[in-house]
Amino acid sequence: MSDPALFEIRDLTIESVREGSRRRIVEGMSLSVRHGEIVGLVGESGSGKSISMMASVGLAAASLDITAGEIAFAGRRFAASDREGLRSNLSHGVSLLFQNAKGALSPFLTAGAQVDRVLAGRMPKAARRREAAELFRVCGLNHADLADKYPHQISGGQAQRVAMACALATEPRLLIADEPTTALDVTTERELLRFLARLCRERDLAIVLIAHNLSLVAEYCSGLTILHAGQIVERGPLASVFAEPLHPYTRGLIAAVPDVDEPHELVPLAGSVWGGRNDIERCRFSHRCAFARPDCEAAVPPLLERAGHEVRCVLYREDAA
Amino acid sequence: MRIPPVLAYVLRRIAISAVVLLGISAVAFSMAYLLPSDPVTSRYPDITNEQRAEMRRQMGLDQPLLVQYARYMQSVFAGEFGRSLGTGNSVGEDLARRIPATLELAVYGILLGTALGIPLGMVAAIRRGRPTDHLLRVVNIAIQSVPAFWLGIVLIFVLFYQLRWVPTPVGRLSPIHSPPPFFIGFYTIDGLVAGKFDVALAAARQLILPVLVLGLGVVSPLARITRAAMGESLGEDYVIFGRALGLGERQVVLGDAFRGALVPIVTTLGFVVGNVLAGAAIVETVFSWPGIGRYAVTAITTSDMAPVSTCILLVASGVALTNLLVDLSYALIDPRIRHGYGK
Repeated sequence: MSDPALFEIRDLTIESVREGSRRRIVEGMSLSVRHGEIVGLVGESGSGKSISMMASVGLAAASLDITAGEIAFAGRRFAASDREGLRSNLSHGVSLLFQNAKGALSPFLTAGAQVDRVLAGRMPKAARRREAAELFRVCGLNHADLADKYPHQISGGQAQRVAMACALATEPRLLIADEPTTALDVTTERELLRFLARLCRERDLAIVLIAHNLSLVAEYCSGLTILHAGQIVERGPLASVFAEPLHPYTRGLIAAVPDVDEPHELVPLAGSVWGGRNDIERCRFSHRCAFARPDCEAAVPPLLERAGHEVRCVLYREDAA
Repeated sequence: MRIPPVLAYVLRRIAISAVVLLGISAVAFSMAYLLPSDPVTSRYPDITNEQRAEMRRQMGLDQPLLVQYARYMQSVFAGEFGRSLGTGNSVGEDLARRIPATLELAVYGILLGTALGIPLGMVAAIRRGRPTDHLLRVVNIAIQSVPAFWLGIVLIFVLFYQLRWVPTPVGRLSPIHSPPPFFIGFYTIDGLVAGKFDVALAAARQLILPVLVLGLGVVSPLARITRAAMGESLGEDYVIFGRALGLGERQVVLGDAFRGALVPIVTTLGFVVGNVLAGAAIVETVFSWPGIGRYAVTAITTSDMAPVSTCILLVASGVALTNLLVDLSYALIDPRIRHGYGK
């Protein structure tokens, strides 16, 4: 693709220090998003999806040590450890959606006031009301009904749409949506994702969709990155990854998702994300992998180009038998 | 006619408080009379038994406890609150003169303590785990471990006796000034209102030391709860989302995180008012402050029962009123609580 990336994370590495012991919770993470594209970031809970995206906008917890990496957005480059610089991207084209929308809205302000205070720095008071009403409309909400309600008085789906209106008030070109539908029921989930996909088309909005559910991503994303224990295990165009999943973890994830059209036996993934040794450089999936060999724990396997996408697994090495 | 839910709540609380206060008055009164000390003996140690019996009869002390209590309550509802053997006045009269003195001390003390404690706690929460936080914790423990009477004496020694920065620490006003005409009973405010700025200034100078002692006692509990509550609310999703929307740090920290921490802070402030009223007895004694604390201490040491009972009742009413205000403030702070009243 000749189209340059709108947003790029390069070699992001994050360590947590707890009681004197260091643990690398994100290792050499990279991600690239083009204008108006939806990319999926998938992995189990604790795989480092949210942390790496929060770090990419300077909002990682202060206790985390960002040891390497570079973030570029719309031509501006920052070291990943430059939280101040990265935070300047927020409200200048990058916005976020959280899993728990009711918790993300201030419990002390009405829905209307939440949107209004985001608009406050951007336009005169007179224009704000009209703009807020327009944002509510875009997000499928009735301003007259909801503007005076507090977050605890509205439903989860409505709260997520109010959060959406807040996010859109910053005129974003990139939206990082961290499992925005997890707290919602299935129908509301579908509605919201369809709505996000439409925004993406109509407003040229790029979206990073963080999810632990592969089937959701399959429907809306064009690119896919799969993270396990802070390592990218496989990434590439969605069609290619789904047509030929290579990494044992990716296969495990797909096997764990029920499919209505082609019913198959559901196989739960064994083990936990952070089991195994943390004191050596290794494939972080080796402790759960049915195909593990001694060389899995000899070094971090490189990302290899195979079948139209990239995979990090020793099974696909040139010299492999 | 429908009564608004908040008003119904207040009325219910006042009714409950009235019952509680009645109970407290009974306990306080009987406690005072069940004590082994005797007001006549402690006042006149050298009289004969016949004289003592005669005096007890005159004071009504020979009557059954229930009759005495009934007589005291009658006097309470008449606004007299019994008669002080020490001053010879009705206790109501004595208290009316002393309450403003204590209130002036308590209000400034709490204001000072709050103005120091809350920002200290906020800074500690924002700088959690960093050197500033550790330093503040040490300062806090130091402040907390100093007893009020000792701090009072040290401050008198250093600031008055050695440095002469403050006037003689006796009473509300040095004898060269006469009290300003009554407005709300605070000499500082009354002086300003009457245009007697020298009196207001003199009163303020007398207040410095006792307010410092009383206020420092408030700093630690408030700083500690503020640090804990802000530490929690700073990690709330709404704070992170506020930042993600590019809202200013002041709006996020002072607007949302502080408001999120305010319910436990106000609750602690409620406890603190009780502590201040109790602490006033010591501070007033050290600084010869003519307030209810010193009045109560004098009454206790001379077995003057009506003032003792009434002071207990007064402090209990103060605490009950504070608790009601604290509960009502929750509704102002948090709309989720406000909307809970109707249910």
